[in-house]
Amino acid sequence: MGETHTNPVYRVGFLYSVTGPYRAIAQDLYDGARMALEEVNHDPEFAFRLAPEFRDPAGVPERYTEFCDSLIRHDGCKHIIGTITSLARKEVLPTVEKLDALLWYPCPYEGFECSENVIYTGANPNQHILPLFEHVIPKFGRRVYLTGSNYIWGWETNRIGRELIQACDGEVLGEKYLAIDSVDVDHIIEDIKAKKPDFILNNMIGNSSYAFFKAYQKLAEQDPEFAADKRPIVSCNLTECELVQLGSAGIGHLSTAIYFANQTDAQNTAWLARFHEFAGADRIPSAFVAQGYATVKMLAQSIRRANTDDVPAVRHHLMRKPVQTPFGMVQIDATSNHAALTPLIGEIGEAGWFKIVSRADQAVEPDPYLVHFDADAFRRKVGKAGAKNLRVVS
Amino acid sequence: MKRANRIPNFRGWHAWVLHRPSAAIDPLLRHLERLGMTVDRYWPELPGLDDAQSKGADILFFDADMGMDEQFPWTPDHTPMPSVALIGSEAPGRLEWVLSRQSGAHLQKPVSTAGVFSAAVLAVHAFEQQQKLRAEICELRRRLKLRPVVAKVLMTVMLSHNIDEHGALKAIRAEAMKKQQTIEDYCAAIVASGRTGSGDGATIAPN
Repeated sequence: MGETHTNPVYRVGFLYSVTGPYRAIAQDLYDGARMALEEVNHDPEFAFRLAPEFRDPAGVPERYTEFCDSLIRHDGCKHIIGTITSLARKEVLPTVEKLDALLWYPCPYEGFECSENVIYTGANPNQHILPLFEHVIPKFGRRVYLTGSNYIWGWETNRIGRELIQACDGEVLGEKYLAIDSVDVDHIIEDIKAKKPDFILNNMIGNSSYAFFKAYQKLAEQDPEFAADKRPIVSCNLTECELVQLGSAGIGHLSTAIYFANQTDAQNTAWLARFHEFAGADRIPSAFVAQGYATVKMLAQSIRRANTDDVPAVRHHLMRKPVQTPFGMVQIDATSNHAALTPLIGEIGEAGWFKIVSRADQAVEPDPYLVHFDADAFRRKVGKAGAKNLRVVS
Repeated sequence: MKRANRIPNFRGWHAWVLHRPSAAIDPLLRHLERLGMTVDRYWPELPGLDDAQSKGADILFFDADMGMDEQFPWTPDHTPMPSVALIGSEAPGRLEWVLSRQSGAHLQKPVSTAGVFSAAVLAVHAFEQQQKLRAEICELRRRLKLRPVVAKVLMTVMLSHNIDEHGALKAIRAEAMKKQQTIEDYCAAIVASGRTGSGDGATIAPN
């Protein structure tokens, strides 16, 4: 009352399925977003308020479209943050494009997409599976077994895995898929037992993935040939938020992400302290918390720079310079709308933490269509076939 | 478990876009560059090809709305590269023309980035299939032309060895296989050497 200057309020739509089959991931993204919103709305540096409109499509594809449409048309959101699966993202894309809104997609995905109405803040294949294979092949070998949940993420990531294996004269010993949520893993374990791959690429999600890890642990107990330090399971999207479900079955296996909570730099230590204050001291933030947080921060910084939430202005100011995130300064590439990110490889340790075993020297430019993938350079990096277990001395 | 990779990597490809300057195709130009291609836009005409071997570009995107045959330095039967039609108007006459230009895929105008990659992949595949089929048809036509020659040799062998046409054909096929030739080429060689004229079918042994 009586104020002459009222800070503008910008509504932001969120599509996170905090119920349904991938709720663990959604919850992390959601919590990261809430933390960032709280910071932005209490920081006088931001002369506006972000008013979140959270929607929970519960993992039902059609509900994503419905919610997305009403968020833009009825709630006046110009920016939608969310969707986790590629299926959901592809569902909302036509709506976002038609209504000229901006979707902020915060998850690692299989690449081969580049909508001008999407900002992709998560890793794509040259930032997840490629560095993962570059790390794993020289240590364990190039005879791989591919597994996945039966949808686009599994199919496409395994297709890229196969291409990488072919590029370095390796061998794909098997490729098996399970329906989402199926725990029928025994036949895969039998096949792996018979074929003895050097490592297993796991693109299963949720319950399938947990059942698989547990069955593989049993196999390793019977036959030490299948110990995690001999023939590991490697994943591109396994994070801290799922380690509780894996229990001891996860220990020693590998995953890639752009953030692991145990980074000891000052920046992460400070952020981690703030997160613990926000969410409780026993909570370990995954890459999804960090991404959920970072994506809101990127939007907020761009609105601040642009002094409006209009899509073209926000996009322009987002591309102008990098934004501070829990995983460093992140620049969105103006050509592809994807983020330059620094891939990490983590080994699952005790008590729900990863141990970082490899880190890229610098941020890797996004290459969503793998246009710049150089098979010769990849071969040189992973060494010759038969040179198994030779380690690069750095 | 090997599988051939049929999805091309477009890095280093050169694309021609035959379209007047328009916001409706700007996302296409940008997206082709994202796919690793260099792009030249032309209007109203494509550049001429230096010689029959030169193909100018690796892939062509052409306007279906205002396009006409005179813009192309080749006839529809001799399209030297995969092509994608950029369709705004769905008027039947325009679609008829698109069909006549043998495009392997299309994009709806205004072009958004979605669909560009698929259109390029489908057009390349269609073009390769077309080339393969065309080569096969050429070969079959050539062999068809040699049918009278085969008939002539067949008659000669039947008469000289006193066998029926099945026996004669079997013998000719066996000889052609030994020489790793088609039956037509084998017979043509015999006729060219004049052996049938002299009644010298005895080199072909029925078995």
